[in-house]
Amino acid sequence: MLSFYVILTVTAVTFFCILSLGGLSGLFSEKVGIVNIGINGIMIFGGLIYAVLAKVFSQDLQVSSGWLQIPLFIISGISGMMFSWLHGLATIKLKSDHVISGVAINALAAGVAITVIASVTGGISNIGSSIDELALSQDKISNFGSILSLKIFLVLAIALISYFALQKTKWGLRFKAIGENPHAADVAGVNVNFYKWQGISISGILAGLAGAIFAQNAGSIFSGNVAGLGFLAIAILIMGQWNVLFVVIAAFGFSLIQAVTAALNGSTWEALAPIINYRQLISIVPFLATLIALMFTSKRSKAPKASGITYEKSKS
Amino acid sequence: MNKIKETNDKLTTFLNKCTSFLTGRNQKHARRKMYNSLWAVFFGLAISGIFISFLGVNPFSAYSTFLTTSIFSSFAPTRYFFTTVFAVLMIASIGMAIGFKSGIFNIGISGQMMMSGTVGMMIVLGFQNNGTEINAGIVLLAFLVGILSAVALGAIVGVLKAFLNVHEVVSTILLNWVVVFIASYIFTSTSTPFSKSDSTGSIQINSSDFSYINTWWVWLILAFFIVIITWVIMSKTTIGYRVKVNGLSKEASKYAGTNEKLMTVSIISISAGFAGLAGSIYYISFVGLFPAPGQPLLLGFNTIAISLLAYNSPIGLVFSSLLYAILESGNLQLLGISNEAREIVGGIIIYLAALSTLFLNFKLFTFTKNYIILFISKDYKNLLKNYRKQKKELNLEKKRLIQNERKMLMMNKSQIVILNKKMKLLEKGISPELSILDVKTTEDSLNYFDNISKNKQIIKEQLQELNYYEISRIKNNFKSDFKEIKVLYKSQIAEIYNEKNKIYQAMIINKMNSIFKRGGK
Repeated sequence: MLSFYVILTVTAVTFFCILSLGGLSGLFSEKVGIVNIGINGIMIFGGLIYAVLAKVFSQDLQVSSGWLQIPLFIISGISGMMFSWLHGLATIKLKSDHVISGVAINALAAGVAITVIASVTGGISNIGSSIDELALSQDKISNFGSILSLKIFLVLAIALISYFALQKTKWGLRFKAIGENPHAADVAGVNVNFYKWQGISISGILAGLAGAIFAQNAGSIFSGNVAGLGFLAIAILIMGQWNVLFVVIAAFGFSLIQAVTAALNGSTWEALAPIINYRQLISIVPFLATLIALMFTSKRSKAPKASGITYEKSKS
Repeated sequence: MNKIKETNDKLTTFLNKCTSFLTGRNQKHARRKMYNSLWAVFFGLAISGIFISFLGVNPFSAYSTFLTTSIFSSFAPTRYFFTTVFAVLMIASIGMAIGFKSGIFNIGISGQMMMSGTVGMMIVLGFQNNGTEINAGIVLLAFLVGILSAVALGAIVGVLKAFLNVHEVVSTILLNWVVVFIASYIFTSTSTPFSKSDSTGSIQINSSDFSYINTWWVWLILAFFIVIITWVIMSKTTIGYRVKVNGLSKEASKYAGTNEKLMTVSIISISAGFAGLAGSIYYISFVGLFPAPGQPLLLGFNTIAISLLAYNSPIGLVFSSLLYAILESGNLQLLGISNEAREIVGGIIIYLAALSTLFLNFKLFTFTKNYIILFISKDYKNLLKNYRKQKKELNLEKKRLIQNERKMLMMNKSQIVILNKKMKLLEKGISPELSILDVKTTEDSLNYFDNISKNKQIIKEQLQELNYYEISRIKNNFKSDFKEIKVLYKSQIAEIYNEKNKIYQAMIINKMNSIFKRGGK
């Protein structure tokens, strides 16, 4: 019974970290008017880099200390950023369709991840080994200490910083103006495309970090996909109505439902035995809940008005 | 007499149409699109070739293995395998393309395929569990109910889009995952009669009568039939035109009297119906069981790339489906690398297809032809030499003038520094005479800003007297000079090109004439 609650909270915290980072990633790109369907792909890429490096350190160099997480998080954030530049190239520079480019990013990342993992492991689809987590406890089944880990502090800090940066600074005001009306921002002397590149880069960093957290959580069974959490992050972004605070709250709600499924799966609490068979059906709940929420909110959605529209500076 | 004239007119218009079709005078735009796609495929293959060579395999042998293990395989079942994938991709992509034509992006193709596969599989396996021999009637029933369920799924998306303004991309992504979990429950949970005991998927269909080995030709004919019918409807009928206009401009289509909401719902439903048919073929005939799903069917996402490459034209779909069918069914394990490498090829091609504007101005043949002609001619070399010389001279003069000006400025350096400092303060909004604390009313603030702008004006004038702005003026002047030279140079090049082109054409015509004359003798 204890294990049920431990698994519940630990998974809830992990999913909360991944989903809120994913949602914020989408938020930062949509605030500068870029629709980023490719979050899932960028997460996969960040997770892939993290998992491959973790394998190299733990297997080849025999180091698996939790402190490795700090440099690895940084590297996967940067690689996520670089991968998101592909999306930036397509949408900002070449002005192609945002959704199609995002789908292409997803397809590309999935292909790259599967191939790289297969070639690193020699044909096996799981990465095979991982490093420890920087946390009070490594025991995710019966010790609440594993909740206090690097990721939760990192995510809370990022959420706070992005709230203040977007709401209280000059930079944030300009940033948001570009999603609403890029032409007005341009007239006011803001370099629109520079801000767009900033937005897509931040989006990439956050998605890469989210992927890294997923890869750390999956550990040795990471197989080059993030279980569609990137898509869920987009749904969370919409449910959170493009507002940092609401996005974090929505991510928390989702992670609780996800955690219930995981806890049902993992614990051996006898009282739960009859409903374990229906765990897949419980997984549907967050998706259906989003769809129902969308039905009621889409009519008066607070999406950035210029989001998804390519910005073309009028030629003089 | 009149009648003859009438028929004559009709005949001429018909002939004109034929010639314009054959010579492709109206097809220029379409041909450009085709080149775009071909370039996307070419560069996609080239870039993924680099990836493949990182895996330690020669990319050319990888590509030839793709061909020899799918379409040109010597083993008949492999060819049937390829053909079925080809047919499935064609049908599903038609669904995708119809959506795209009308401005609807149905990412749910893979979810809809899985939906119809799940329902159809449940029917077939239900009869099988009852001990009934599986016959054509059961399979037909499974197909029909499966397609209907996919249509229902599409209709949900359509209703959500038309009446509640839910974007179809988001709702189809969510529904994809809903379908994945439903299928996962039905085919892996031990509480249903359809799953295997080790929860790796559903039980196998025990009759091989409807397996692709025996039925591949049915699916291929069906796919081509659907392609032709869709082509006729889309390009020759009013319905097709309405669908296209709906995609081009919602307002125009509404104004022309189309029921926009009904149109949206029906297009997504039809699109989902094709996906459903493809899904039924895929699961019931091709795989023969429903493997435990972890994510939406990846094959379904290929349809996006296929219809992008084909620019949503049903005829073009045949060729891009062929490419993707080869990629999907080719077997690279002979070369010692895993089959997942093909996912990279597909991913890169779809990314490049998304960037197709990149290739819009990529005219390799015209470009090289121009340059070859230019390099042969002597005038071009002289021109280039002249141009470079002029540029060098201008640069030298610019440098000299700017250096002179700098020397002059150095004499008044201290004054300029002081003035610049004052200017910076003013730009921050700090006036030297008034204090911001005194500003209370609107009039005060107006006064304050007036004072700032007056001060700015004075400092600017002083700076101008010291020739502070001279350097930027010189730079600007030279910029326009450079531009002038460049424009002149470009126009001269164009002249040379035109002249030479005429000469070469005349030469060719002369040669031809002489050949004909010789033949005449």
